[in-house]
Amino acid sequence: MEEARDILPVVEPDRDLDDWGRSARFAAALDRTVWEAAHKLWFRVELQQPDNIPSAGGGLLVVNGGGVLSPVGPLLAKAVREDHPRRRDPRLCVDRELLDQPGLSVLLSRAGAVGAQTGDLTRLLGDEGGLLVLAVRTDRLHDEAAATSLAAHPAIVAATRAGVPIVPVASIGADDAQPVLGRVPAPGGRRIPVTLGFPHLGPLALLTFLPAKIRLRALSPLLPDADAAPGTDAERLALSVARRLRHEHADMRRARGSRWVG
Amino acid sequence: MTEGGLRVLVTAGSSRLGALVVTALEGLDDVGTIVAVDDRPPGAPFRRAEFVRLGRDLVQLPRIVRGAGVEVVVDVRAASAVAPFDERPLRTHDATTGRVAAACTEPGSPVRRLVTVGSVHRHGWARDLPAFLTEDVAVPDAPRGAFARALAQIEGAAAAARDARPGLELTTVRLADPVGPAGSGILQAADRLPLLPTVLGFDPAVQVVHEDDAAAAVAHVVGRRLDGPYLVAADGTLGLGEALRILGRAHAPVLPPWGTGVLAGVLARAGLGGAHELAGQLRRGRGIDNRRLKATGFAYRATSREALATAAGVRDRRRVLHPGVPEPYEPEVEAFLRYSPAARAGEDADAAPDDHGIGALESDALLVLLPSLDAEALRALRAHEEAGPGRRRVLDEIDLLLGRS
Repeated sequence: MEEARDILPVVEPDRDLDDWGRSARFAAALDRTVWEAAHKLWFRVELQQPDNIPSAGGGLLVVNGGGVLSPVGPLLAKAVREDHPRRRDPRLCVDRELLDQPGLSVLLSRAGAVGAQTGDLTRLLGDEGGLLVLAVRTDRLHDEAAATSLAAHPAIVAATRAGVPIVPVASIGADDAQPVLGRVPAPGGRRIPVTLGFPHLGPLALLTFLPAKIRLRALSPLLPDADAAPGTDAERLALSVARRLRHEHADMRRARGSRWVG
Repeated sequence: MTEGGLRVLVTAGSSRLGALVVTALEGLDDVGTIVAVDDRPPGAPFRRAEFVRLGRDLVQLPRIVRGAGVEVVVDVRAASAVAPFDERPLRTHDATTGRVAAACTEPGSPVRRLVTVGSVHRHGWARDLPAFLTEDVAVPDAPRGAFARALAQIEGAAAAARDARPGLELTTVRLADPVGPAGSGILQAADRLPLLPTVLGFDPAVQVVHEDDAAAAVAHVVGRRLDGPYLVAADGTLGLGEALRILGRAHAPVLPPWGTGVLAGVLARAGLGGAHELAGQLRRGRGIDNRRLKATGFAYRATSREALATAAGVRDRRRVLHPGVPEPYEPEVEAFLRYSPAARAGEDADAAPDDHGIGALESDALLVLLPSLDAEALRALRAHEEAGPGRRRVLDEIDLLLGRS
């Protein structure tokens, strides 16, 4: 398969959908309305050091402040589209279970999200040279969680296999926009977050974000080691990403004046 | 390669896909002898391939293989059943599968390569499959669904034959649903129903291949002597709604998003063939990574969208036809014209009338016109086509339209 990596499918420019199911019209409409308002008016997103994000080729952006209801993933994608020198258009990596839910399946794929599956993400990052955003929870950045769950995440494994840079992006403000008041145990070992609007408002909780100012800072990229064993390298990269995000997030919190005006 | 070119045998040679594979093989210079076998006669004569009608279960197949010194056996039975989405030929495949394996493994067998042409439905519809299947994705040992089970058994028998006889090489070709006049795989269900019920809240991925490309891919694999598995699918992964729109078929999202597997199980027990495969397509869908075959030099002529558009046809032009003389396939006539010393060489070709007007159009151009013709005109064109070029795609499309009218 190695010799076939560059032979990508032909692109039919008059098609609305691409091979991943992204609708150009729907994604553009979403970008012009929801994400534009969220980026410029509500969260006043600021992307610092955008030059650390690769201008060409594949790259994985790992941002903290993620979660079921967190807007930080799409906001980082929007910030890259707005502030990156090449205005690149990243895709969002989502849990495959979300793509298995009726309605969400169509909505997310039309908006450009891709499921977390190692083979698919290796193709996206390595063969198609795409940018991918992976949002992780800030409270899951301690070493133990990084060495187990983050290192085994399909996006990290795919980036390691594809040999593309991993860019940690520290964020502050996303956790304040929808503060998690507690977590309720759910079947399957999951813990459902309880916020000001969720779960009692259901999907309407997506409209109850507080207007916290969100700052994003792209840190210098980490490169996979071509000679290392993939599993070991993924763990090394995950630990390195988590530690840098942890420290940068703490620094940004200390330097911040107000969580609402920055 | 032996002197005189490769000697190839094609099973299911009378099926639409089998005949297309034979036709594609006829176009390869390094294929010297082509023998097509089936238990029913083909719809039209082959240009240079020999057709041998075998009884049910292909009992005489090993004799044919030995007698013709066949080096490559191309087993198209599975794919030819999936194309029209008809599982009946696969219900009783055990005996014929045994004959094919025996022809390849018996002592003294001249067969050096077995090419099994199956379907990507072999992979099933498990939740953990990637969005784009590749040749590296493992196939399930015990798949669900009638098609997938039969495909697994046929591929399993081929693998066992390879293991039983060192030196026998095995190529496995898995086709996306071939689309063309003969059918459109799972999307064929949309033709059988006035309104295809789809699953609420899902628009799964669909990837198909034009049947000519499918046949050309099989011929390419044979001609290039490629080993291992190959996935064959056109470029372009569509949404199901987009695919049905191109086909001009109506659909309604009325099936509940939960319990489709249970419903498919009930329908399968009630005798509805392909229920599991249909449920999988409606709920999950899949894309296919076709790059491995392309890396060997194969080029697809049509994308998924173009394949579906060709199948759907265009109803914007009308032509007036002149009746011709029908010339059905008759084995005795073929034998006389080919082998009798009384038949003059080239007489058959010379007898073909000069082809002007609509019959002179290229197949693709003609196919898009056919839906605009009424039944009488179609019958006249069929007679004209049979008397003239005898293009299989054109004949089958006319038959399909006549069957609908």
